[in-house]
Amino acid sequence: MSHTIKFKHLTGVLLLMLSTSISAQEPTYTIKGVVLDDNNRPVSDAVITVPGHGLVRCDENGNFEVKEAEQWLQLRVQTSGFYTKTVRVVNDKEELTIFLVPQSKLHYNQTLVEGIFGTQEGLDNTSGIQNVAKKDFGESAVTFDKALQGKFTGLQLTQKSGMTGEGSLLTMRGIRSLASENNPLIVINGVPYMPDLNESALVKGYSRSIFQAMNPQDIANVTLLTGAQAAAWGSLGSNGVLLIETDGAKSDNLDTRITFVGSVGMNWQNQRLPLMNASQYKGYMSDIAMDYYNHDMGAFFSDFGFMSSPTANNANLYQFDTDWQDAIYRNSMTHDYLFRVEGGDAIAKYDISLGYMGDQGVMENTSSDRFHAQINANILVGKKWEINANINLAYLTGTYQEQGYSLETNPLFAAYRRSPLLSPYRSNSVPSEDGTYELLSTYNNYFLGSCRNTDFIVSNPLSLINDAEGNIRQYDMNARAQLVYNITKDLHLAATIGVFSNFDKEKLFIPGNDNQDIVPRFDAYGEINNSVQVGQSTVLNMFYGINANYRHTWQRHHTLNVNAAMQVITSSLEYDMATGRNTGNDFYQTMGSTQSIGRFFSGYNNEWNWLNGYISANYSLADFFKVGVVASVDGASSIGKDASRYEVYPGINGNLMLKSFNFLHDVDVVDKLDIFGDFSYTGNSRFSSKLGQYYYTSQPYQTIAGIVRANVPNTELKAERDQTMQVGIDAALLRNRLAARAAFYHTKATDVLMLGKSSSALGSSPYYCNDAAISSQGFEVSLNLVPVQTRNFRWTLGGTLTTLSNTIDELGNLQHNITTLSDGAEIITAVDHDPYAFYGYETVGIYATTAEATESGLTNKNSVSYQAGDIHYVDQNGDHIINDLDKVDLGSPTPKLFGSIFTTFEYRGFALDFNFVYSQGNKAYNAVRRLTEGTSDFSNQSVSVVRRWQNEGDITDMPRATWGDAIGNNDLSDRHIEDASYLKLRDVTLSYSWDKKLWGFIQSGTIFVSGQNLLCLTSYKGLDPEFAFSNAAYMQGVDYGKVALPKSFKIGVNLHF
Amino acid sequence: MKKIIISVFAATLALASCNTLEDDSYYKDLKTDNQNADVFSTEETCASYLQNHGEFSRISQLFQEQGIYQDMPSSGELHTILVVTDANYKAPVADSAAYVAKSHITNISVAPSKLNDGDRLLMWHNKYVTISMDESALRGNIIGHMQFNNATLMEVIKASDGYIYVISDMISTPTSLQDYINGLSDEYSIFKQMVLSSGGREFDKANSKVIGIDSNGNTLYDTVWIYTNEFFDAKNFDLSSEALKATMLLFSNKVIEEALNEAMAKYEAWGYADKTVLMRNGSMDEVFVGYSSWEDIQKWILEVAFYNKTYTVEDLTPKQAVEDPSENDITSIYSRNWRTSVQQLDLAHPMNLSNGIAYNVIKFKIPNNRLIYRLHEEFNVYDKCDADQKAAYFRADNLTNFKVSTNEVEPWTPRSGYWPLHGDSPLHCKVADNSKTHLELGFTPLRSRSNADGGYDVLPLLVPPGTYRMAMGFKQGVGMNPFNIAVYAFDAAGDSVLCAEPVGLNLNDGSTTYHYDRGASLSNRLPEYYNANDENNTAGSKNGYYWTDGGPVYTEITIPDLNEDGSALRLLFKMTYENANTQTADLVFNHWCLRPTVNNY
Repeated sequence: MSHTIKFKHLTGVLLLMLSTSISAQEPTYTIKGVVLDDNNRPVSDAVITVPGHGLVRCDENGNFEVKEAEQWLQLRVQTSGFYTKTVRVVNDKEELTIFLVPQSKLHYNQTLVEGIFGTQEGLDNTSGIQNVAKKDFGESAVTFDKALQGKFTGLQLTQKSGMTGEGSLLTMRGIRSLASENNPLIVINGVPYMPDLNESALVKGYSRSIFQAMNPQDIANVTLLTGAQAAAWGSLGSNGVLLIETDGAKSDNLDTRITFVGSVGMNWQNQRLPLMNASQYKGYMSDIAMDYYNHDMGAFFSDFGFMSSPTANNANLYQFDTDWQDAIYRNSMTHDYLFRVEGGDAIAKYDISLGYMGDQGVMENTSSDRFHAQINANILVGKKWEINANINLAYLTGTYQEQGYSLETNPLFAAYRRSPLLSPYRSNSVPSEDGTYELLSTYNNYFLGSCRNTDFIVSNPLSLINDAEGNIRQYDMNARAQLVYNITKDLHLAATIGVFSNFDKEKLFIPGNDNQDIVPRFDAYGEINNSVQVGQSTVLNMFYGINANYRHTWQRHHTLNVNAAMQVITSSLEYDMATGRNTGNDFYQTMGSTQSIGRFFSGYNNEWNWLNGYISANYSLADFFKVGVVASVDGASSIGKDASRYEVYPGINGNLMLKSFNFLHDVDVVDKLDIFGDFSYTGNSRFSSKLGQYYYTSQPYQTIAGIVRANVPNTELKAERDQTMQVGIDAALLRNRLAARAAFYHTKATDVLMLGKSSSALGSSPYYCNDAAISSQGFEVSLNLVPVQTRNFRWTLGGTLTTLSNTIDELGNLQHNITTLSDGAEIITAVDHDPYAFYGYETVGIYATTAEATESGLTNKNSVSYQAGDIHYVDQNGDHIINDLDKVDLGSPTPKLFGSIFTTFEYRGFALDFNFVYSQGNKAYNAVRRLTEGTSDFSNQSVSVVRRWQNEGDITDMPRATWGDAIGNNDLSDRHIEDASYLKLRDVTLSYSWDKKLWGFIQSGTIFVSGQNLLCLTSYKGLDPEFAFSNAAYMQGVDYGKVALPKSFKIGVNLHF
Repeated sequence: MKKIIISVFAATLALASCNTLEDDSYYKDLKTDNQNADVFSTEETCASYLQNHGEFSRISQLFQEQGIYQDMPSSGELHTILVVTDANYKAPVADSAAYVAKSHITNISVAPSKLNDGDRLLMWHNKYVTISMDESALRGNIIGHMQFNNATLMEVIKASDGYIYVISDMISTPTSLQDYINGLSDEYSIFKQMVLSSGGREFDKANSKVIGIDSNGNTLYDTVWIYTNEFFDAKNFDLSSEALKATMLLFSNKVIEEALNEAMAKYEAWGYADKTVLMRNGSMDEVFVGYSSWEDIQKWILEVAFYNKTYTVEDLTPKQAVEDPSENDITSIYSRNWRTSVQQLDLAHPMNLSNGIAYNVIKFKIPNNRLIYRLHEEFNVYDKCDADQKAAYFRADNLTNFKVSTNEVEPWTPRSGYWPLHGDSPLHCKVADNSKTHLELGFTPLRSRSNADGGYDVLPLLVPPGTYRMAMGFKQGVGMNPFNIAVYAFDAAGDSVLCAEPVGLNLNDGSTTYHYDRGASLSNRLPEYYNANDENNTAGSKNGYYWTDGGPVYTEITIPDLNEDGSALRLLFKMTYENANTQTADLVFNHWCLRPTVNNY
């Protein structure tokens, strides 16, 4: 492949150039230099630390002089407001111009999170690592995941929905696993953070945000590891590692500092699915009724007298033109307040923050609240001993509505389907004096007006919104205690204990017993008029780690950095739920009141343990190159007892810093030019320990629930194995005004866990095996440009771009695997295709005429010939029958490329910041449109159905309306698979910052106004192209009627006292 | 610069409100292209299109005058309108102008593609217009190939609020069955009276619209009346419903009288003229039950006159050379059979009605199986015979000691006061000579009639030719198996013919199959009108034993037309047993029964 071209040859040339540089004599030099800022202005108070020579200060013109400096001596230039810069003394460079980068520079960060030992400053790192600091999270971000969106190449954050508290789905360079976790490992302060990622078993379509307990203002730095750096995390590292460092108590500033960050916002949802109005609906109703009533108008008018005469009996019930979507949305408020105190002395430092966040959902009767406290302490208990401790406590509550494919209980679906002719409320049966019928305060029932035909019933959305609700309460604690022993200047030891605990209590009650507002559900145990569901989960993760770090420099240009660790995680997860029905009346909402029949329990539990030891070593030669090796030994309890429990995951990396070479040394326009590459193995053991063992699941039977065996165990299950190669270039030019990073990556996952086919002798239980292989590759580019910079004005422009090609290479002895969703749509995972592609028919339009339909000679699978107005499906195999054999891959939700674009205009204290995110080439299955363009029942339809085929010769894209759709016009086809590419203005923020004292007690501050999600350019025909049904990879791109992301406007302050 | 920055921010916020799906052409462009010249699309409403196009001026004026345009609500309502060009316009007579105008409009919008052959549009005048399509129309070529009642489709105009169908002629609306019956002349007075006699009217609260409350607090309704007719309601057959697709046979007074006279003549010829016996008359102990009353004839006519299917002339033309004559039967809503090969309809002049079709009956006969319910007599008629009659009609061989046992089964009734008491007094006899294995009784079916002397006249019961189901009753468990029966018929010359192969009955078992008249193995064994499940019955589980046909002898036996004139014949039941011995018990004869089958028409 092209990326491996002649690497050997290139290396030879570089070493030759390097040898000429370091083979020079060892005289001493008098180094003269000037320190300038990025605006070419002298920095007068910079301090230059010269090992062995003490300190040198710049004069007022930024000039300095260091005498008797030896070759390779590293000068360290520091001053407040700028990133520290190191420069080396080299033989032929005695006049130095040193440009400092201001710490205010946007989208620029030199701090790396190094896991257990906190952060590391400076550019002495591998360019394959990306990092973001707090200043680039944006003032307006309410949630941490929103703050991260678009910040890293390779990492895609997709906001799951507009339902408050749902957060984002994180995927790293596409899908790499079919049954294990696909999300990157999140490590907070060196401790892996592993919450329950499952969708709520109660509130359909809801999966909580994994970052819900955190305030973005409490996060100091985030670093994304991919490739060799992730190899240290062994079988947790295959999807990348997101290292998070919370705002800590490590500042050298010993003053007591008090900060208040607060914002108030308003959210609104002005996006509506365009549906038929009353008049359009009547026309549609007539069409469908001709079929339903077998072309008997008398029977139709008997049920719906108002259609024959506006003065007919009960016609007053159908006189409305209700916009049901308006009825369930509202403009809502968001509050976010954080109060922080930090300070201490040379011995003990602290950082305490207390916060409250309240977010009313844009859907009526939804909300989420968070009360949280974070305490960080850093104590020097002796000359060599240090204690770091953090604790984050959060109490989270929320009220939610059901989402997903539940026609009866998802208020959105009810709003889409409910006839616009009806009122939300019942009307008085006796007219007022003026002949009108007064509306009462009780909700209208689910019937289609006075007609009692249950074929036409749709839940009253207002009743659902106000009477049904899911409540979730969580108690969340994430704590770490660490003892650091600094044995020598170069050798450090640390022992860490981390604990993450989450207790989650959920309840869902869906009424419907007392009045016929909400359509009952049915199952094997009969009718569910109302239902009670309660559940609770507990997660307890313990982490134990011992780390050592040795860092030594000799002869001023040889540096060795060695890390070694032993780490253990014990994780315990249990979810228990119970469900029951028909409590007698809707006032009783407890399990005890439910009927015994149909009452059952369910849940899951998993004990998962992990042991890991690793050693990594980096050697760097001056600023010429850096090479590293890493190897971890890793085992997890999810690995089958007959498989090898421990695997070794090695990795190597190298970084060639061309700026130090002769040919670039004097090229001032180049500040940095690194070539980096790495090759590594990681693994994925993040799947349930149950898969390799027998386990049991609950199953209801009549009035009792029992347990049955759930699987066929595979005791030879092993961790998935990922081989990653990445090479790239990292450059900074024009005094860092242009920074760019480009890389190529290729990942090959083998031994990928998949659902295999078990022998029929074993029954139909799932059986997992390590038979699949998946590869992904692409380019990652990031750019940060300052096109204009004057004394008072700065324009910053940049962005990230990741391309992705994600392919299934093997599926054992299968060629494909098909998953059927709850609405019958199918998803195929097939060899040589993208994972989780949509599977259905291709279409070439609608038969405009009877002659066209006849000419095609096609029939559906029931041998019924297509008629004019039916969909013309492509007969792939030419057998003239449209059936499963004609289904094809219709595209997948995997984007071809994604990333972000940002631009900021700064003028004095003002800043106007735009952040765009985009995704291109991802397909989505618009199930909402498939439902609302079904043209097969009496429910309201999308307004696009107005152009349905109605007359011989009609040329349209919408098939004829037929009750029940026996011909299959609404089968899943390319009609429902859409390009969900988008370019979205994630936020725009106008802020003003000042650093003068205000009212005598405010030292400095920022005031901002911000708008989120205001613009979206897309051809997607759903409410929002950005959504994720849950954290499950196979459900990506399936638009099952989730609440669309709202627009919001926010005003806030960030005050320092 | 500050102003620029703030302005850019404000502009961005303003832009946000424009970005909605309603602006997407996918949801905005709601029109379809149509390259088919058969359907013309216009943005105008139906009303304005008709008013603005001169070729429809005459029907448009009719609509204007009759308030059709005013009654079409201005917005939100959809219509399907049938119109003719001025050239095809026929002015209705003044008093039917409104009716005619309303016959051209309905309130929902029906696209041509939603119309199938046989579909009906319910128009404002509350009558249907029926669609018919030929093969070409079914292939999508509707112009000239689709009929609206009497008119042919010439053009389709898709307006913004519905469809205008230009047709070749004004709609002619047939009346409904109910209206047609109401309008029948005196020539049909008997039939009309029959149909209308049981009708009534009820207040339909559920479908009545509340229009206010009076000063006394009573709710006022815009009253909807339901016209009920128990006879038709029981079969969900609403003569006034436009949803009905029915066939009606129309009986003039003349044909009814002819049929009745013919029936009376048959009774006379069969010797049944004096037997106008009906169970309701309380004469339960008489020889047989036949339908000779006017009420019963009338009931049969009403029951056979209505069908819930529209039969075409072709359907009603009898098929020739059928194996089973019942293949020419059509079955009415009351499951009465009209045998097209026997009865005569005026198929040349069917009358198309809005909810069905009617045919005049030219001539009909009341089927034998209706004239005769069953022939059922007890052997105890023996006691009413004189010695000669006993010798002639009870020709015994090796049997002796004939004796009628009075009330051997005590008289009882399932429903006291409604059904008469009925008991059994069977005829007993013994084997005369135990040393002979053969015994025989040659029995001639008889009828008895009270005479002026206070005694009885006993005569052979003559049976009309035709098919019957035959049953008999004895006492159970008399140890005879097989007990053989052969049936003979005698012609006018006295020559006999064996009607069917002899059969052997098992009188040996202990079941009630042949036990008196309690035989339980035949369906339809109870006297008509009597419902064994009637809640008023008091005898409970034994209801089914009440005076049944008896145990089966022949499922179908044909009495031949020996005289070839349909005259009734004398029969002989020859009953024999070949294994008599000392153990042979007394023989107990209870009754015999012949019931006409469906094909005894």
